[in-house]
Amino acid sequence: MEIVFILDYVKILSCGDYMIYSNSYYKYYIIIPITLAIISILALPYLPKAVDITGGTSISAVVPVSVNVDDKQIISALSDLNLRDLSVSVAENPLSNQKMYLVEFAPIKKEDNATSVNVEIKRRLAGLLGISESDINVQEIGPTIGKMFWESGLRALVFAFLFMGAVVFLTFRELAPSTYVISAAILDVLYALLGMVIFRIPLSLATLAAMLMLIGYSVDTDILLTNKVIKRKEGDVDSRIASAMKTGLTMTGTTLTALIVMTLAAWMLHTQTLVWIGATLTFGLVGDLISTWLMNAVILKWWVTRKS
Amino acid sequence: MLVGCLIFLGLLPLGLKGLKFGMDFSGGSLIYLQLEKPVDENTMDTMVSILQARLNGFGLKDISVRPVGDQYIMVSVSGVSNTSLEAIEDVLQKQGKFEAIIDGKIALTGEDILRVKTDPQSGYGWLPGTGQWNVPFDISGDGAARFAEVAAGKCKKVEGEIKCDKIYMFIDRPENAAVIIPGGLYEKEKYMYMVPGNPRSEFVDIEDIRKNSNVTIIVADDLNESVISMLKDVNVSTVIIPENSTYNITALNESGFSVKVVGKTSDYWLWDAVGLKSILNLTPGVTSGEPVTSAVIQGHSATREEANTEMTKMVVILRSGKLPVKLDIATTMHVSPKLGKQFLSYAGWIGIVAWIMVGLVVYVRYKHPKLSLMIMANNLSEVIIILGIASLISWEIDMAALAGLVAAVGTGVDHMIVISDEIVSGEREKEVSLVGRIKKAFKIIFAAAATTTAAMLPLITLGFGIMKGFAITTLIGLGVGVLVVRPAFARIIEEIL
Repeated sequence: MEIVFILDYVKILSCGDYMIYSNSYYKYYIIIPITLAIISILALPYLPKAVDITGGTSISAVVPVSVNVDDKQIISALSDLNLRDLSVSVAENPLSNQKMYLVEFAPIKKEDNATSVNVEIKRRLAGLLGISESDINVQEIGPTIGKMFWESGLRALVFAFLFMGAVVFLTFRELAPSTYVISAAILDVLYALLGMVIFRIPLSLATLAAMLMLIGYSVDTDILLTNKVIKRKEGDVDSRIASAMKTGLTMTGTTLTALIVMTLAAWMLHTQTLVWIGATLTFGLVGDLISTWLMNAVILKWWVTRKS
Repeated sequence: MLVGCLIFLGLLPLGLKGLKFGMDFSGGSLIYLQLEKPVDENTMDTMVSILQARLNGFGLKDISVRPVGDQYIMVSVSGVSNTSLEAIEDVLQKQGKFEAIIDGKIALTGEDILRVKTDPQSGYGWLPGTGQWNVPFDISGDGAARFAEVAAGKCKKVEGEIKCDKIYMFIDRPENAAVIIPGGLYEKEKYMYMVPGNPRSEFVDIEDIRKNSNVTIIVADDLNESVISMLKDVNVSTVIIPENSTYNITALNESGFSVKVVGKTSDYWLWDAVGLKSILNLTPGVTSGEPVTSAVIQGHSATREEANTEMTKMVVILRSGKLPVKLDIATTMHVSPKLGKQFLSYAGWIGIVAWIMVGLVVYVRYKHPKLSLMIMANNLSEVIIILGIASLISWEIDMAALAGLVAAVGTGVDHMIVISDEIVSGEREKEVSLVGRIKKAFKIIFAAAATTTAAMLPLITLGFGIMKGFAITTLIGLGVGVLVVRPAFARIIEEIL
């Protein structure tokens, strides 16, 4: 079965032939998105989380590449402060001739007075790295605020999906599109999360923003497909799906190319946040190809055929 | 044409006003305070005003205090300010100290104020007829007794007219401190209006303030030997100096004084330096020597707005000692201005690379250089118009806004591809007119934009922080795209294809 799928994709890519739904086994395409979704859900517990979600402190400093201090020196310089889950990472950026130190640790207990601990760490780091204290970034997130960000975020997302479904229903007056537009958006987010698990990209406020950006892209292809299949009259269902797919692949392809280049550029410039956002979006958009063309198109064709 | 105008209109505010960058890019510090429990809007407003007043009272400038939801308050300082995160945390963690002083003696403190009544039933409010406003409050037994003693006999009949002493209200009055004031500033603040900004109010002079704040005031343009020895003679530990002064701080430190630099946040610097918030006249009713446990602060204002400002100020002053709800520091963040700027310039370059890539991919797909350039030009005009709007409404550009901008421009590309494809495939089939084809494309675009809009609305109302900022920028971008830039693109494409 997989070989047949692959052949279909080769057909699309090499001949520009998008008539992949006119065979007898098209329904089985849906196995791929569902299997992937199950894998993603199983992988969720392994998702790394950044300090802004879990709570804790993250201190970063960018210095010239010539500064020669390794992570062990920093750990030993901070050892007497009793920081829990202390991790220090150093990343070099050959392009800008700089390197970045990232020091992270779990929330400081109330009785230890977080402010004075942070001030002390800043002073020691500045001394060790030979930079001014104001050039050091400090981010300290209490465990409760991380939890609240998370809860209110999830609630907002649930409503966002419901609203989306309602508008789709009003547009097409059919229940099926609403269902799969919501499902596809959820799947895209799940696939993005799977990619993050594999590439060890932590869930953070920045990657959360990336997942919000996915919604718009996901909706565009879904609406395109639904509109062409339900509202148009020319040709049969297969050729209408094929026409939508041609446009849809161009849309996603353009965005993906721009994103991959952006991620690579950000990686070379060592802008970690942008690498994370770009990579998360890339996973999500690849996921959108899978959910739109292997799930939504299949559901739509099956549903239109059954109706007529 | 229209788009040309709009691009121009977009560039205009950008050029004139520029963009306001958020902390992510301009650097700065941010603190999230968590309240013990969720509070209603009124309590939240009071909390915010009190915190703002306390921070200003400590001479910390350029600090914004904003409520976030019903349980959090965000305190942020821009990167250019040299106020340190630690100094702000310090102020926020301390209790505000309210003192009312008559004739140099403490009449009331924050602990004496039991309750400030802000409901109209108890008399709080403004009377339009007379222009008089009232802020009633309850005083504890001890407080009432002390007030009665200090205020007794402070109204005297002089030549048939009743003359009353004044009551000076302080928040966080410095102790054991001296203020050094340069000659120029001294000349300006030698005489001050009792109600700052109101030329009809009585004068007070520096001597009144010295006596009531119990802070030594020294006028000096530079810190020579005699000034230092004078400071040593009065036996103070803290020396307060104005911002941007030429005083030699090291010399003061070496002589064992701790130096507090205070910026001007109200009408008079001296008031900021000593924590003076308000001066009121006593009325004969409270100077009889009899303890009164419920008192009223009265004033006159011509309009309701003025009265509200004054009354809120009084409430904040009286309540500053006790915050209505306990709070905790939940999150702190400091972004160095250097790093933020670097990040922004990288993001800009990466954006340009992505922009060129979009043009290239479109060219490879359609083999039509004009179309490719049109899509790129359209993208650019969209970005300019969105940024123009952001500049007009003083919207802060932060990470979330940038993500929203990219999302909007990205769906913009999607939509232009839908239009292009519809026209190209329609040409092949020779079925529908050009206008018909564009109409069909717009059906898809409007439906897609409506769906995305529906998804963004809950994010604006329910989400906060990054979600809210993202959703608002995405909505602005979608609106500009669908209503202005896309129709313009359709017109242009009719011409070139």
